[in-house]
Amino acid sequence: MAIMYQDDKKIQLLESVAHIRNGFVFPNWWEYLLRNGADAFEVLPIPNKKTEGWRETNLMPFFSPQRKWTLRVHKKVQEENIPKNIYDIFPPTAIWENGAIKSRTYNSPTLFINSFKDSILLGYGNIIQQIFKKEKDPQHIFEALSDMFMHNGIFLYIPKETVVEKPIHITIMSRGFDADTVDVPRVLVYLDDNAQATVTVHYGADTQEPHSVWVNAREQIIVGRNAHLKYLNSIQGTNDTLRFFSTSVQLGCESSFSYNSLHLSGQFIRSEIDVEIEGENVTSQINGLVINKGRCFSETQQLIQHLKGYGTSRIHWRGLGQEQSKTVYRGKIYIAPDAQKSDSIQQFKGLSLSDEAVINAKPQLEIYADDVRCTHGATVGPPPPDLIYYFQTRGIKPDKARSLLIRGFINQILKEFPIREVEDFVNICISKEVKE
Amino acid sequence: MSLLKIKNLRALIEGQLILQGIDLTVNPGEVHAIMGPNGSGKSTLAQILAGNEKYEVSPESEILLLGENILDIPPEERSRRGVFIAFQYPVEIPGLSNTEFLHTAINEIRKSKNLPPVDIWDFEKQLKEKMKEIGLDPSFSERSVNEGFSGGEKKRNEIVQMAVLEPVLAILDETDSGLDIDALKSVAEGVNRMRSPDRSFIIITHYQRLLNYIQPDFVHVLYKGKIVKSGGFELALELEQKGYDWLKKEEEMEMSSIGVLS
Ligand SMILES: Nc1ncnc2c1ncn2[C@@H]1O[C@H](COP(=O)(O)OP(=O)(O)O)[C@@H](O)[C@H]1O
Ligand SMILES: [Mg+2]
Repeated sequence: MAIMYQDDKKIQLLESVAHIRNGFVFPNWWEYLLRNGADAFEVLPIPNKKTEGWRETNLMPFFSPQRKWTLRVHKKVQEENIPKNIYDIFPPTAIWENGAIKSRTYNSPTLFINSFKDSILLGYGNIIQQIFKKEKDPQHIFEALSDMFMHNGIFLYIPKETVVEKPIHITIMSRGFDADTVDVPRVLVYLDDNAQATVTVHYGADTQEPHSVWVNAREQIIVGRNAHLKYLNSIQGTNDTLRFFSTSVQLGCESSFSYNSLHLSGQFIRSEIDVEIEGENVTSQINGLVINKGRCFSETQQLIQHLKGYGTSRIHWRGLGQEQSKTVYRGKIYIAPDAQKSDSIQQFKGLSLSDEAVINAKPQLEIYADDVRCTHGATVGPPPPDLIYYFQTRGIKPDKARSLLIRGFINQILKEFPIREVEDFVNICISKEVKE
Repeated sequence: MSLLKIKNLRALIEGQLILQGIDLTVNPGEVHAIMGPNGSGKSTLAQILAGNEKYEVSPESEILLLGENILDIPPEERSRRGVFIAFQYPVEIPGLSNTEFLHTAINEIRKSKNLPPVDIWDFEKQLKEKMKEIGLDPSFSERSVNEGFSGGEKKRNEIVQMAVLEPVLAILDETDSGLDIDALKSVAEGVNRMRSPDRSFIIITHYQRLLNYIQPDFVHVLYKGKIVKSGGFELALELEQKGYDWLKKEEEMEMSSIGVLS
């Protein structure tokens, strides 16, 4: 089964929808989502460079003629496949491996975490259904693919008034050894009113040449009234990993949300996040670090929508471009007419470590309310020569100076992450990823 | 042997001749003050001594450090040989603490001399001591280098670095400007504590004020890229009284006399 860079070839991927049922009888609303996804996948065109928002995205790796993509659903999670840095620093409560889900039967009064299927059997079907009812139709084929292949997912629910002190860690593994494998991980996090939690989700991937893995991930996050969520996701994987990420977030009034993201490795990453501030007095902070190298491509698209007033949003995103990598950042703050007294700051910083590394940033504002405070800015450049010279006058060689400047660049964003373990985590990764 | 010998130093930036033939000898233990109006080339001289590659130095010029020409030696190697510059405008290094920065510096310098590295905890203790001595709060050791520091704090931090790196030749480029009298005194004390028979200073200043606290052995006046006058401490006092205008007048007189002759 191969999909070429032609729309009619999508049909072949559509055919594999049949085998995801695998004996399980999906409830009607789920069947509807699958069908709706498949319909959308059929009619939506494959985006090209003329499509707004896809100008810089090279989708060739997905649609090269050699690739014969197959959806693989594993039967069992093999924990030994989880990268050591994830396992040691963020020991998982729930694990996804190509659709197989293992949860440390965490069904306590304080939280519930399980697969979608088991959640339905355990009586949480209604809550999940309510959330999916609000789900928008897929905007493009990648989102459609996530829906039409939605054979399972991880559901995390924190009930009303519950404060979970211990962070909850989730690991998502996607493996592609004997075939070009599609994996469609899905995470649904719901903090009910007045709940509080820290959640981390770590994506790892394994491939073996000549095969590749296409991870089409979907994260849905709902933060209820006066609920408080600290969220971290990290993305790493072998060189042949292609990833499409779509994260949507809904924030209720008086809630606070801290989203932190690390893009550490992989051939292709396109990550989209859409945050909707649906109530007043919301605080949203988005921090991210992209470390890019080789010929890899990493693109981040953010949309923060202030739909109600008195909200504060902060974006601090950084990209480190090495070798021939290409890093793209596009962020848009939208302020609706009703969202008076919104306060928003968006900042992107790019550090390019080679003449061939490309970093493009496009911060945008779209404001329809008149009493707001918004600023945005982006700076991109190599390590400044006058700084390197300063190091030299203190006996430090330029190479060492550069590596200290890189470390400083990384530390500055990591210190804003509210989860302390990231420093160790990233240090392990960058000793591999950043050439010093 | 003299510690530093500058011979006929001529330097250009962007095609413009900034230093027009400077000769200067500094012996071990001496303190030289270089004074002069803005734009006369004081910082240029300091930068060229430190090894800033922005400037083009004429091939017949020589800068001898302990008899060896260092013009082709990169800044880090000059630093390792004991040259230190306190910048007029210190840069900020985001995300790197003073401790990490200086600990790296000292160990890189030690490594080049085949000395074992110093432990970071011992080092930080020592750094905090030096900071206290120079009137900088010891908590600055944990802050990013110069980031968000006031002008005066940056200058003090340069002196802290000097105290830590223990150079044989320290060049202070207008470290006094922008300092209040207390800061000035603590900077001067920092320098005086370090004065020794085998350490020399070149103190660049616009005003005579600092020299009340650091008594120089020699004072030189740099004007339009040339040393136009040298003397003892009394020259600094004279400059303080007369200002720099007389230099311009003398120059005009010279010009007009040339005009008469031709
Ligand atoms: N980057 C530069 N490009 C062009 N001219 C410069 C540059 N830096 C310094 N100059 C010129 O060199 C001269 C000497 O400058 P400087 O050494 O900074 O003087 P001082 O430190 O005595 O005030 C001045 O006329 C200044 O305009
Ligand atoms: Mg100057």
